[in-house]
Amino acid sequence: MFARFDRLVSHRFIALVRKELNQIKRDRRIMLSLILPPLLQLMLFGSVMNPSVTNLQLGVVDDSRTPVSRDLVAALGQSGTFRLRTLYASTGAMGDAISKGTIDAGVVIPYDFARDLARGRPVTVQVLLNAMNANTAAISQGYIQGVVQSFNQTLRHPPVQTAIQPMPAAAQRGVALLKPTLLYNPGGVTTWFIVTGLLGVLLLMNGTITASTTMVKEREAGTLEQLLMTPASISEIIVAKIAPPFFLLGITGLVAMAVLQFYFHVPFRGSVTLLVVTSALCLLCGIGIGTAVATVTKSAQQAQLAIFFLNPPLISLSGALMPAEAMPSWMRPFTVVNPVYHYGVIARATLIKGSGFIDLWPNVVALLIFAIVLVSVSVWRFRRQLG
Amino acid sequence: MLVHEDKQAEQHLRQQLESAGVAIDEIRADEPLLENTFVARLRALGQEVKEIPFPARKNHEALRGQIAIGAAHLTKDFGTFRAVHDVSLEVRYGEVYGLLGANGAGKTTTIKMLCGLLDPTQGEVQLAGVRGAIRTSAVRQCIGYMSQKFSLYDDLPIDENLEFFAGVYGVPPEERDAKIRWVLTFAGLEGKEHQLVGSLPGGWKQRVAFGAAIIHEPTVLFLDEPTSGVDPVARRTFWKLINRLADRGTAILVTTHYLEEAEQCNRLGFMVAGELVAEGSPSGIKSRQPGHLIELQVSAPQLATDRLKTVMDRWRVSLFGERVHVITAEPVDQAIRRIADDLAGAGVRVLSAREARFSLEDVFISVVEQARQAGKVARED
Amino acid sequence: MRIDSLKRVVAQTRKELTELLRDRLAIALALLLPLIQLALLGSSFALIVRDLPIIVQDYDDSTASRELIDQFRASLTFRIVPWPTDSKPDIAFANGQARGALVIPRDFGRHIARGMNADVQIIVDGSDANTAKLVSGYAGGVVRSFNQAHGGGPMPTGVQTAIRFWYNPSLSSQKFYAPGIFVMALSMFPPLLATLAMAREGELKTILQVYVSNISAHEFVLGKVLAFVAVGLAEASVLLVFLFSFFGIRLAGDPTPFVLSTLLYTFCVASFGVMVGAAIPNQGAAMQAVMFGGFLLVFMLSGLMFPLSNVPVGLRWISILVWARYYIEIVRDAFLQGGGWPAVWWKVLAIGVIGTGFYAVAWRRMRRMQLEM
Repeated sequence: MFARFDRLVSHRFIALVRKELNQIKRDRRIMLSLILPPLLQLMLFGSVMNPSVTNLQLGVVDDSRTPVSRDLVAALGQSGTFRLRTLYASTGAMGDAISKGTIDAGVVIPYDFARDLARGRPVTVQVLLNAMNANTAAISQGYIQGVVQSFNQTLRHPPVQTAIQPMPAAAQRGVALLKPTLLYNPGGVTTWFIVTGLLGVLLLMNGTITASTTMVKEREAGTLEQLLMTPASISEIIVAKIAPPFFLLGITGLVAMAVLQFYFHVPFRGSVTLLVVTSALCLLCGIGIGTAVATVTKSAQQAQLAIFFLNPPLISLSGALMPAEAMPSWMRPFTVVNPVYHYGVIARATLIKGSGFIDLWPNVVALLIFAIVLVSVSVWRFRRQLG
Repeated sequence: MLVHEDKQAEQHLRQQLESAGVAIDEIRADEPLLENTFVARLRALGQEVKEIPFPARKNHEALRGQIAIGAAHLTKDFGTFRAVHDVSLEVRYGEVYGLLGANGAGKTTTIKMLCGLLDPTQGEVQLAGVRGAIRTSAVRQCIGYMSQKFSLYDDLPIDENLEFFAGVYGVPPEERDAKIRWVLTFAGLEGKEHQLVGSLPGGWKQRVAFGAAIIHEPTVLFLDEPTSGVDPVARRTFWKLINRLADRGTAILVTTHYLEEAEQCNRLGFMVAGELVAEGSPSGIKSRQPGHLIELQVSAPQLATDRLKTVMDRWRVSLFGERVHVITAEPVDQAIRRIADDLAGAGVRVLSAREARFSLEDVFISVVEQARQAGKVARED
Repeated sequence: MRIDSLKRVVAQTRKELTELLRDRLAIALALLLPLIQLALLGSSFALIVRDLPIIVQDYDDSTASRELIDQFRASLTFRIVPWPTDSKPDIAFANGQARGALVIPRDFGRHIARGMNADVQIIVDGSDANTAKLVSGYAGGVVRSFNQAHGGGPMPTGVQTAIRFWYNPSLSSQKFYAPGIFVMALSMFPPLLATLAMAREGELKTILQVYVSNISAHEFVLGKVLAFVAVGLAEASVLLVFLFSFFGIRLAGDPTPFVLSTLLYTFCVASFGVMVGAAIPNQGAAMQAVMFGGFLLVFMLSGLMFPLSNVPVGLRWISILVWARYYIEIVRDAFLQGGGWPAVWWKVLAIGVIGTGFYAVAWRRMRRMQLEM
C-alpha cells in the first residue's frame, strides 16, 4: 500500500511538471523572453548604455598661437576624452557652435598666454562646457584640471629637448600632487558597472514575467477547477508551477554570466558559488513578485501591464544602471527594500572586487529574507484563492 | 425505431424480444421526430461513432448498492444570496442520477459541493464512503469530474493532455497507452493526437474531456452537461458508455438539459430556485403528475398557444415543435371540446386532439411554473 | 462634403474619448502612472554621487596633513569614515564601507614646508568606473583648494582655468533627466492606449462594423489619432505642471518650437500606436510591439539616458529613425539651452515627417476597409 502510494506521488508530481513544461514550451511569449532577450538585452544594453565620457568634440580659440599654446591644446586632446575638432576665429563663433551642438566644449587661450607664462605671471584659460549633462561636465572639468596641472608641472620642470622656456624658479612653493589609483579596474571600463547591474534586473524581470504568466494562465483558461479535482495536493500544484520557470531561468542566468565573462570581459574574482546562490535568491524574489501579481490580476494581459509598470521603479531605485549614491537622500532608504539593489551590490563586489560572504553577508541575508517573504506571501495568497 | 411498416415491425419486434427473454411493457407507434430522421440519416452516411469496449481493469460490482454520493441538508449562501437550500439526496453505486433544472437553479453549485469544490454553508456531504472531510487525495483518486467548460488545456495537443490526466491520476504506465488509444478512438480522433485541443470543435473537445474524466476508472463520476453541443449520434454513444459504466458499478451524477436523455437515468432530481422540488425515477415522476395531458395538432400553432394562454393558466399551455400541449384537471373529452370551441373563435382549426403521456419536459415545465406561482422563482416576463 | 467628413472625424474622436474616460485603468495609464514615473525616475536618475564614504590613512599626522583632511571633510562629495591606519584599505572596499582611500605619506608636511612637491595618493574603488572618475576629479579639486590656501609662497603661477558651465550652471542632474523622462512618458503611454484601442477592435471584430459603415479609412484613422493626440496633450500638460513646480524647471528662450513640436510629437506617437494596432489585431502582441518601440528604442537610442555618442557606431544609425531623439533635443533646447528656431527647426520637421509616415502606414492598412483573408 505504501509502495503504491509512493509511486503515485512521484507520478503525480512528474505529470504536473511535465504539463507545465509542455505549456511553457509552446508559449512563444515565455520562450522568447527566456532565450532572446537575456542575451540581446545584455549585449545591447551593456554596449549602448554607457556613461563614459569620451570623444567629446572640442573647439579652440587660440589667440596666442605660440608653441606653448599649441602644446596645451595638444595635451587636452591627448587621451580619448576630447577630440580637437575646429579652431575658431572668435569666441562668438565658438559659442554658436556650442549652442548648435557641433562641439561640446570650447577653450579660449588669451593673446598674452605665452608672454605671461614666461614672466611668471598667472594666466587664465577660459573653458566653456556644455553642462546640460552634469556628469559629462563634471568629468570634463576634472579631466581638464588634471591636464592643466600636469601641464604646469612640465612648465616648471620641462623635459630636456624643448623649446619651451621654463618658468622662473622664484616663488616656487610646494604643492600636494594627487596621484589617483583605480583599484580593481585600472582600465576604467564603464560597462562593467552596467552589465553587473543588468544581471539582477534580468533575473528579476524574467522571473516576474514568467511566474505571473504561468500562474494567471491556469485561472484564465478555467482549467484550475479540473486541476483541483485531481488527487494532486495544492502544494504539489504550486511547486510544479514554480519549479520549471525557476530552472529554465536558472539556465538563462548562467548564460547571462557567460556573456558577462566572455563578451564584456568582466573579471570573476570572487566565489562563483556565492553568485550562483544569490542569483537563485534573486530569481525567487522575481517569481514571488510575479505570483503576487497573478493573484491580483485577471488576465495574462493585465499581468503583463502590471509588471510593465512595476519594472521602472524597481530598476531605477536599485542602483542597477545608475549608482545608488547619486540618488537624492530622501530616496536612498528605498534601495534597502529592493532586492535588485542587494543583488547588484553582491554581483559587483563578488565579480569585480573579489569580495566574499564575510563582506557581503548583510546583503545576502536581506536577499534571503526578501525571497522567503515574497514567495511565502504570494504562495499563501494563491493557495487561498485556490482553496 | 425507425421502420417502414409499423404493424409488421411491431410483430417482428415482439417475436425478437420474447425470444431474447426481454419483457415488453409497451410498444407504441408514433410520428417520427426530427431527431429520429437526423440520426437515421447520419447513421446511413456512416457518421457513427465507433464503439469499442473501454479497456477497464477494475470492476466496481462489489460496491453496488452502497451509497456513493450523499447529501444531507445542503445549503449554500453567497453573502445574502441563498443559492442552494436544504438539498438532500443519495446516489448509489451502479446508479445513474440525473440532476435537472433551469440555468441558475443551483445545479452547478450543488454538484460543486458534492464533489468538494465548494464548502457548504450548512449540511454534510458523504462521498465514496467518507463523511465531511472529503477533500482528500484518496477520495479524489476515486472521482471523475467533467465540468461544463470541459477543462482541457487548449494550448496542448490531445496526447499531452491525456498523458497528463493519466499521469496525475496514477494510471499505471502499462495501461496508459491502451487507455489513451481508446479515448482517441471513442472521440473519432485517431491519428490526430498531435492536434491542439484548442483547435478542436466543441463536440470533439467534449468527447476527449469525457475520456479524460474516466481514464482512471473512477467509482464515482460527476458529469456537468456532458453532451451539450454534441450531435445526436455522438450523444447516443455517450449514453451507451454511461450506462455501461453504471452496469459495472460506477455511480454517476449527471446534469443535463436534454430531457430525453434524462429518461435514461435511474433516478432524477428536479431543482428550482435552489431547492429539490421533485425526485424519483422518470416513470415515477411522470405518473405522479396530476391532471391529463392533451396533445393538439392545429392549423396555426403559435396563434393557438398565445390564445390559450389568455384563457387558462399560462403554465398549462406549451408549444412542442408543431404540437400544442395542454395540461388540464378536467376530464379529457370535456377539455378538448372547450379548447376546440375557444380556438374556433380565434379562427384556428383543430386538426387532431388526443390524450398523451406526460413527457419529462411537460413535467419539468409544470414543476417550474408551479414554483413560479408559489413565488419561489421570478416571473418570466 | 468636407463638413460631413469633418463631422465624421469628430464623431469618431468623441466616441474614442468617451470609451476611454469610462475605463478607469486607461485613465490611470494616461495620467497617473506617467506622473509617478516622472516623479520617481526624474528624481532618481543621476550619475553624480554625493556623500561618498572615504577612509583616510594619515601616516604623517602633521598640521599640513590635518589641514588637507579638513578640506576633504568640508566637501559635500566626500564623507570621511573612521578606519585604523594599520588596516589595509582593500578590506574597507571589499564590503563597501568605503569607496575611496586617501593615503598621506609620512613626510608630507615637511616636504610642503620646504617648497618641495609631496605626493598624495587617492585609491578609488573602480567597480563603478564613472564614479571613480568623478571622484578623482573632485579629489583633485579639493587638493587644488588646499594648495591655494596652504601651500608656501604668495601667488600661484602657471595656467589657471576658469571653467564656465553653460545651460546648467548648478550641475543639476534633474534638470537634464527630468525632461528626458517627460519625453519617455509621452512616448510610452499614449501610444500604448492607442494601440490597445485599435487592436481591440480588430480582436473583437468590432472593426467589421467600421468596415460596413460609411466612414472612410482616412476619417477613421484621423479620428482615432486625434483622440490620442488629445490624451497625449492632456498628459503633457499634467507632466509639465509637475516639471515646473516640483523640479523647478523653467523655459529658456522662445517657447514656440516646443509648443509646436509637442503637438507634432503627440501626433507622431498617436499615429505610431494606431499603426501598430492596425497591423497587429491582437492586444497582447500589439502591446509588446509598442513596448519595444515606445519604451526600449526610446530608452536606449534617443540619448535620453546616456549620450548618443556612446552608442556603438553600428547601432547609431538606427537612432536617426527614433522619433524621440529629435523631440528630446528640442525639449532640452527649450528648457536648458534656449537656442530657439535656428537651432531646432529641422528637428521639428523630422518629427513631422516620421509622424506622417506612421499615419500613412496606418491609413494604408485600413484603406481597403475589408477583412484580410
